Amino acid sequence: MTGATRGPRAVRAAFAAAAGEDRAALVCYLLAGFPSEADALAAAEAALASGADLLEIGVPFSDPLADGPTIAEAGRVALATGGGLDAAVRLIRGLRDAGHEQPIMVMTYLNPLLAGGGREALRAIADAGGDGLIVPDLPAGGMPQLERLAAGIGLAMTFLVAPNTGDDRIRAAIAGSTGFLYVVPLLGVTGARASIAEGAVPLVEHVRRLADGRLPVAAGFGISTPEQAAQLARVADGVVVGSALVAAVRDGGADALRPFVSSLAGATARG
Amino acid sequence: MAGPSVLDGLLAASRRRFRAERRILPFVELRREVGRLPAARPFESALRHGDRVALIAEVKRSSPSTGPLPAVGQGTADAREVARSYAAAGARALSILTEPTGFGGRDEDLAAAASTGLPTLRKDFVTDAYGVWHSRLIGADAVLLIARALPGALLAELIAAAADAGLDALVEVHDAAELDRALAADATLIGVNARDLATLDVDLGATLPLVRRAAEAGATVVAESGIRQPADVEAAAAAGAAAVLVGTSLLRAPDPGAAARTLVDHAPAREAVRVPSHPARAAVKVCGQRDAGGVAAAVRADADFVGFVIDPQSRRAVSPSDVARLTGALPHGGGPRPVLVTRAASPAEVEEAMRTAGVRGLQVAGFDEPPSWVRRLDPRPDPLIGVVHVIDGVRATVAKAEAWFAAGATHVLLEGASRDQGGGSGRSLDPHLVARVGRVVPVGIAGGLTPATVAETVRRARPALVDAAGGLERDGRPDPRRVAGFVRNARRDPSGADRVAADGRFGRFGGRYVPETLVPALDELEAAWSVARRDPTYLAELARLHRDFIGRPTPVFALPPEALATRGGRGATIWLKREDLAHTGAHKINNAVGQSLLARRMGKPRVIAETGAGQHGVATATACALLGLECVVYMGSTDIERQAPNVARMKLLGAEVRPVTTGNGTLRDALNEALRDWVTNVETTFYVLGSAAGPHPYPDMVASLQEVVGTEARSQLLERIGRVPDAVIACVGGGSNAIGIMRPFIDTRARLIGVEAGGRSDALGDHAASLGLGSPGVLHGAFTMLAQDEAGQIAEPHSVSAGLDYPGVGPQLAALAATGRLEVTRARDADALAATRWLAEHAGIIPALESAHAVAVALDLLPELDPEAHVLVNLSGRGDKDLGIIQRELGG
Repeated sequence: MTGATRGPRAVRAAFAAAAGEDRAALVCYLLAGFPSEADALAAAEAALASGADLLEIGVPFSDPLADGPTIAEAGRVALATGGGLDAAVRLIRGLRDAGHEQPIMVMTYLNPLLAGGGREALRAIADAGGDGLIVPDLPAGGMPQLERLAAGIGLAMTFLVAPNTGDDRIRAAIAGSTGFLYVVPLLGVTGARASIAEGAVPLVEHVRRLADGRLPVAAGFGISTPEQAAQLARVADGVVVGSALVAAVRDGGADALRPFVSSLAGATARG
Repeated sequence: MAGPSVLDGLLAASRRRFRAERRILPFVELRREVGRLPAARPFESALRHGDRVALIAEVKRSSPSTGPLPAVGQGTADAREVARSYAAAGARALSILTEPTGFGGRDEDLAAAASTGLPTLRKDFVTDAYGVWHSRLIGADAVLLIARALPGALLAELIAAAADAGLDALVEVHDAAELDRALAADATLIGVNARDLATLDVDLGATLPLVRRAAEAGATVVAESGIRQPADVEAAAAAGAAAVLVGTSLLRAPDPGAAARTLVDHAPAREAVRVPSHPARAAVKVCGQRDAGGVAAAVRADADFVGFVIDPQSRRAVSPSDVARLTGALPHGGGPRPVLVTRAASPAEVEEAMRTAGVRGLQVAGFDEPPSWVRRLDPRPDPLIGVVHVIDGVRATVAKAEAWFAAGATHVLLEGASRDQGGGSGRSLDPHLVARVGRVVPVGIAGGLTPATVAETVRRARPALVDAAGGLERDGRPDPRRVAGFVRNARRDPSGADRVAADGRFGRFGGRYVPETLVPALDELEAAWSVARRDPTYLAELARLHRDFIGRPTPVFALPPEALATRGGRGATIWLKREDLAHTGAHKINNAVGQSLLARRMGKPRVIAETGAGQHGVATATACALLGLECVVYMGSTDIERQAPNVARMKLLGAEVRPVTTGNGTLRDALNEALRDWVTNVETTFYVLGSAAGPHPYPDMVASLQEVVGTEARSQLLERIGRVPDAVIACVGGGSNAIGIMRPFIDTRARLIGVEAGGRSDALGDHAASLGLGSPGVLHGAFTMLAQDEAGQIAEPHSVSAGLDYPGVGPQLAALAATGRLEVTRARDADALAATRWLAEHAGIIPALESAHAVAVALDLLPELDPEAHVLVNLSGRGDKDLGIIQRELGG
């Protein structure tokens, strides 16, 4: 752990490493404190041991308006046992203490981040070994101070774009993002879907053209099977899987997660 | 410890720290953010005008001279605890060290300490204007400026910067040369530090002569360092100190609060001029009136004072008997108060004019200091406005203003004309100078003000009173439109709480914090709304539906005096704005019709809405039925249960009601689910948000659509009682009925009282009082006040009324509350139920439980109201929907 590079460079390096192996990076979303803090740590370790290139640690929030039922319900369970941003920070520290070096993004709604002034939360994330932030209710450019604070502390920022995002706003999201860019290929909240949204592939291709190699582009929301991951892995620099993993943790814990993440990791190879 | 290097080291570290801060928040953005904050609390004035020597109690975790001070723990909450113990002990102000390297301080400590309500000094090593403005941003009311660290003109520059940022500057000196510099820079608040910053040695006795000299020069003097016991306070007081600043000796005591109390209890008395507190907003005087049109305009605009110039040689002169005739038209028990304006008249002439005119108000100009006869006038003038003409420096002007207050003045005006020039010369004063004087004593500004310039002058000078005569005239005569415009613009809120800014904020509240998917939809909505609101076709259709479909205007109804007498009423009138009589039984229809019309105009075939009590759901279903739109309403399962009649109504109107089972199954859960629907179906769907909350442009759009309530009420009451009411009361959940009735009264003198749901208790989870008991954060797309825990998790609110059962509040109400324009109170479940029963039995009106919260507070106010007072209550909805709850809670 000594001297490990953290922040935007680490995030981009993880994507570059995957690209070097001709595959998309696998980004695994897990919820802090779910179903308990100990189980969340076990699940995160299992994901990292089974092929996750990056982790997204979700922060349970009382009003998760961008999340579908799976993550929303899991968040309620986590909050009932006291999890919040603190639980995410403890989870990151646990992973770093266990020697895991993969980049970790914290995905949190704005309010838990702002509680106590914002600054302390960002420092706590960075001090624990976190690499960046994804804030689903913060559009690009919506809080320049937070972006500059993150940059000063050494945390990557990742903004999201959607199918209805115009080119101007896609460019703003690219300009504001320092880790990777997150393409949500559908209109809607998080959660498993039967198939990849129509238009997902051309959207990712379009966004990658605009990003022009300055930033890796990952696609997420609605991806729940290796087949879907494989489809997007052909065009995206990374594939994010979330609700399906949370459901796996819910139904079978870390043991259920291992084979699932392995199969997803296998599906990210392009060759 | 090496001497000079200590200060130099701290200064260097602080320069680095503020440079880093500047990278996060550039100066331009810092100034903009500070501009959106409400005014700082008076710091110097709290010290200067107390009748005992004040204690400024300090919080720090260590210091270079003492080492660690473990009395203050490491957490921000620990700093707050110590600050609270000081406040409880009677400290008049706080000093918070925010310097981290030598004192273990943090910026967050300051806001935590300031939450005690005491004026708070930021003690740090500020060396540039950025640091000064930054101090205001983190919540300081005053900033420390160390003379030794600010060479040359820098000291005066930073004193000026502090006034521009709305702060007091405490200029710290240690020797005679530094004191000379402070006095030359016209500092008003001077700290004499007994500690030599070079050697860190403390010698209180040696610096007492400096205290004396600063006090004799008219400064407010604070003795710093070396105060350990009551005898030290007495010594400082004897030399003329208004306050002592004590940190180390308190923090070394076993109980810092108790040690502070000992100093406070032994604080010697001192002679101080009593001055009124600085009003949250400038009073407005329209002067030089001489016909009925101008007086009527002043009444309609609800000016504070109408001035009549009685000196025969003035171009604007009116005779006292004409004044009697003109003031005969003024409303009783309220409305603008008349003031006779004279310069250099004799006491006999003044008294006779006052008697002939039947006017108690008097403004006396033309004297360099108050003439002795002013105190002896009979009748005693009220208001008594003294005018200070010769403005030569801040401390000198403060002294002149204080002389007027000592002579019994209720207001003091600074006028930009020389004494000999005569009034109304139209010469303007430097607003910066007025601002500096105004931080010490409440002063008004006169001279050259016009409707076009007054808002900017108020923003810069923060005066206690504004006065104009010439600026209100057209072709040499008072012009009613200019009178109205002057009053309105004088009452613009400098922090922007009264209107939405281009970025969707009211003051610091509001904005747009939503998933990217919603950004294009909100942009599209904003664009469509900004066109529609000015489009005669849209407005004509809305007006037609108001009249023919909703049944507007709804009446105002005065509750029977005999009924009010049973509640301790002594003649005051409570008026109900009868939104319960609007179609569908609540104000919600005003917004639902307006937005549904907009949906149709935008070609969106599908409408979604969230609902709590069901009133907004019913209103939206109603509007959609009329306009042929598909309607889906999200409603929490708990609310579906407690508001069954409204569910049946929505279904009958053809809407689909989707139960929301997440959370407590209440309004906030319905709002989350509606937003999820919108994210998913954004291209075909229009989201009719029911409250003046959520992301921009909803708060402003909904408030604009609800403003009809207050606009009607203002003109209805003008017709009935001839003036603006004394108070406007409304319940606050998200706040659409409150902002709707209050917006048209923001620029009047009416008290605005918002009543939140107090639920069962003040414990988190037992209420829905986000303004009164909450803290700022982001929910449902806006930065606003929230009922939340320390980790930023939103609480499950509680209220007996589903419509108030919401953990957030509209951002404009949050901004108005922050400035103090909106008074916030709460009524408990039981109060609302009792008010419901009372209104049913005494007035034959069954109010919605939501509205009953406002009624409860209005009834509680009755005994203290002036017999001629008029109070307007928004009876926002009718109670049929609540019969089940009412029966369960009240029986039978």
